[in-house]
Amino acid sequence: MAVLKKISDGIYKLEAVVISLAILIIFVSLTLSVIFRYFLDNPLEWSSELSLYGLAWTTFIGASITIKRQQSAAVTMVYEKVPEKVQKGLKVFIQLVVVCFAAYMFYISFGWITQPTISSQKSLGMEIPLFYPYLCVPIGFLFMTIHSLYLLLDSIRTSKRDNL
Amino acid sequence: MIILLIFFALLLIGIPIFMVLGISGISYIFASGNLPLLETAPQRLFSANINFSLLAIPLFILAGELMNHGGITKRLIKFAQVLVGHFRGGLAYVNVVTNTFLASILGSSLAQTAMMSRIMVPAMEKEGYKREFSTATTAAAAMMGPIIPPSMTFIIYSVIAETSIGTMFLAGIVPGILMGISFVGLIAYFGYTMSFPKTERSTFSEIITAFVQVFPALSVPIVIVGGIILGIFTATESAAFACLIALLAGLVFYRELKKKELPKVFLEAGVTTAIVTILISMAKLFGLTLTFERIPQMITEWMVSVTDNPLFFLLLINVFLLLVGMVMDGIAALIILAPILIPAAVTYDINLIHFGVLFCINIVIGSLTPPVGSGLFVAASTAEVKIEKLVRSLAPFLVAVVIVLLIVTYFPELIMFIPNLAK
Amino acid sequence: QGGADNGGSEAKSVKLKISTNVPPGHIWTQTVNKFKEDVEKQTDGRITVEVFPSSQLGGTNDVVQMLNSGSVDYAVIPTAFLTSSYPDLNAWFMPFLFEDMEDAMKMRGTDESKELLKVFAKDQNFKGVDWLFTGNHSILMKNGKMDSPEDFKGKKIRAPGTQAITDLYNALGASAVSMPLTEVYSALKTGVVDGINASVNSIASQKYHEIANDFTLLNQTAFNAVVLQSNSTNKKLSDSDLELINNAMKSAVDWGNDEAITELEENMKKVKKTDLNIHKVEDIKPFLSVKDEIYQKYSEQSDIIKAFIEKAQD
Ligand code: NA
Ligand code: NA
Repeated sequence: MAVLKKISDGIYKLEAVVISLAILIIFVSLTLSVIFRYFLDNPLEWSSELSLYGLAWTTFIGASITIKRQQSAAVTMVYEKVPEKVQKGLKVFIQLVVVCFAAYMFYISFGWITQPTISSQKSLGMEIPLFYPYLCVPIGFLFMTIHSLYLLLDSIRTSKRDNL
Repeated sequence: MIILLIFFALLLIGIPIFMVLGISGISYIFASGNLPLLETAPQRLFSANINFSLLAIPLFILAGELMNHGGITKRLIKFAQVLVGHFRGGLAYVNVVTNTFLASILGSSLAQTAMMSRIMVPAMEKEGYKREFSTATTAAAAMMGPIIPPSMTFIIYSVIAETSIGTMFLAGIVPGILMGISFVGLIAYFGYTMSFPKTERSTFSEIITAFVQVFPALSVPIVIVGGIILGIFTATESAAFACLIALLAGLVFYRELKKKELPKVFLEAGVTTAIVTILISMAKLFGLTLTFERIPQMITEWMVSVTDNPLFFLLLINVFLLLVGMVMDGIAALIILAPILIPAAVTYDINLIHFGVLFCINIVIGSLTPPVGSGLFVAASTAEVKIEKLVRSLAPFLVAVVIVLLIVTYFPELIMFIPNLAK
Repeated sequence: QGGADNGGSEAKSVKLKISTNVPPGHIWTQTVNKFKEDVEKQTDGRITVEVFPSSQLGGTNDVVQMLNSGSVDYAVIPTAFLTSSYPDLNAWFMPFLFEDMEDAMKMRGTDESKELLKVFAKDQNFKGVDWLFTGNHSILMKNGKMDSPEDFKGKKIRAPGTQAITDLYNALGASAVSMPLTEVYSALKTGVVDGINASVNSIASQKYHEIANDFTLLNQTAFNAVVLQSNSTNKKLSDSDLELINNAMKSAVDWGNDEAITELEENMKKVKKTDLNIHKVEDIKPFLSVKDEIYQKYSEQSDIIKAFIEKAQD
């Protein structure tokens, strides 16, 4: 439990760095893109593609952060109306669903990215192997699985402790 | 059918919406027996994000965060105060005017509601306005946020409808201003009947000082709209320039933005982006269900069997979206419903820009209608007002926006005026 | 299930799925609709075909993945979108190789273009089966005739990211700008780009004549799509059914390419009626050195392209 918390917190720190960098890359490369095209008459070929891959990394790593921080968009209308006891049970169930889904998605995206047919795909502009941008999907779901597993165990522990 | 049940059950118990979309999508694949689709699911999630137009989302969010950290909101309020503060109901106008300025800088109404409620509601209360009226004014005026460009809602609609973001942005200007005018009209009426307070008229030099203070902020909308019309950049790239201005204003001009805060600002912009873009990704997976089951075609056929009149169709859509808006709102409603309804609009030969603006006005109304409304929740919790009280004060504002909605439904020229001007 | 059993001992009912990236009215989607009609008629509905136009099933990479896994059976994908993964396909985009679309179509049945259909087989679970054409790309400018290399200096032109096309613009001193289709109209109108790669068909369908003044019929590159077939499709069909659908696809593509010629003529008439100035280019001599430079580069890079160029020049 303590180990899992440490791992999850460590991953979160890494995620924060990745996201900040990805946003910085999007901002800088699009600004440069306009400057080079409009003011220097010399359009950049890599800028839009690089920013798109920055966005993909933002999406999947960011989604993992929203799970860690429990701030993803959700409908809480029913959850807030039910008695506290039911809420606790519901919380465990929600976390269980989240763990299962994240783990399953990690499983299929791992299968996807290790397919031999992926290795021949190259991006249209920079002609880099698409494997690298694609990596954000399995990694995002892996991190999500770890965060949600910790949250599940934590919610089980709190609901048990409160029932004593 | 079972997929729909799973979908609503998971949604209602409070599973994150992006996961609900993903789980329903995966369940459909299993139910349909087309198992090879599972292998392609991750590919689909990834490519949903590979869309140049979506890049505007993180950038406009970043611009807003930078502006906010740079201390722009209070300066905008000061500026609005010297402009309209001396009228009866002065602070209420200040609220609407500041919200209009903010709307031309920010892309989302929720951020705007949170920022404004924190400052405007205490200020108005101190001058003798009822707290629920102050909160209602703030929350209502923030509805202009997603209609006046830039707008995250418009960007997402454009991505789904494959329309030009630049054109959508230009199309939002007139309806956004009409909303502002309707709010000003309401406040004038209330100010007269309820004898609202007013403040001293400002001197000319105070006006000039306040204007110089807000100039960098007000240059953002000028740069966005001007840059798009003059062909310097596309709407997506304009967002990068909005960030650049916000960064320079915060670091150099106002000096309130600290360099060491920047990584955190970037992180928060990224996470806020991900909340939206992961929904878009998962909706693409869920969308396979719709595509393979030909749901949009079925809806279209049904619609056509009900009416062949485009105007009546639009009225039906308005009613439908207002009803949906009561229980589901914001970006999620847009992402789920737009792909289903757009094909129907196409068969009625409705201009997709016009349709998009109507759709998005409905979405912002939904954020303030009970029982479920994110704008409602944000405003009520930041201003500490009971939702029931807030809803009562909001009612006249919502009626005003519905009237604006009906006007622009009937007169598409109002929406298309500025985009056509740019031709 | 009744129906003609074409020789096989068991008459299985089968559902085939086809993806295109173009709208229902486009000639490429009409071609697969034709295939659908023929197949369903010939088998009395035992084999049904579902057509998903307008990239409903996703973009290029999504659809490629679906072909690999067998969740779609056929896909029509613009060749230009596949050149980064299969550089040999740049053959179709060798500049000034074809006078016009009909000239490019002559390559369809040749051994040299059949070699190009085989490039996928090495590492993917699908194969190329045929080529569908649309109007060759020429240059549409907001302002200015473009009949000599000097006209291109410093111009920003929206073009597909295909390497050979980018090379052509770079060699002419212009630059190729990538941009989503949804932004092209307003970008050309406002001048974010000076011009775009365009065919007569795209001008007619996107109404670019409203915002641009000069169309130079340079015919600099062909533009086509490759029809891809998943290998999983073989497994679910009997030999006789397979032969039936292969023949049906071939005749649908024959039909589609014929239709493309008629459509191009009609769109040309339409475009001529607009205010757009259309410039014919009789002589491409000024472009010869650029052309040779690019042919040489790609011939050295690939024997398949070398053979393709030689055949086309015959
Ligand atoms: Na806005
Ligand atoms: Na609502």
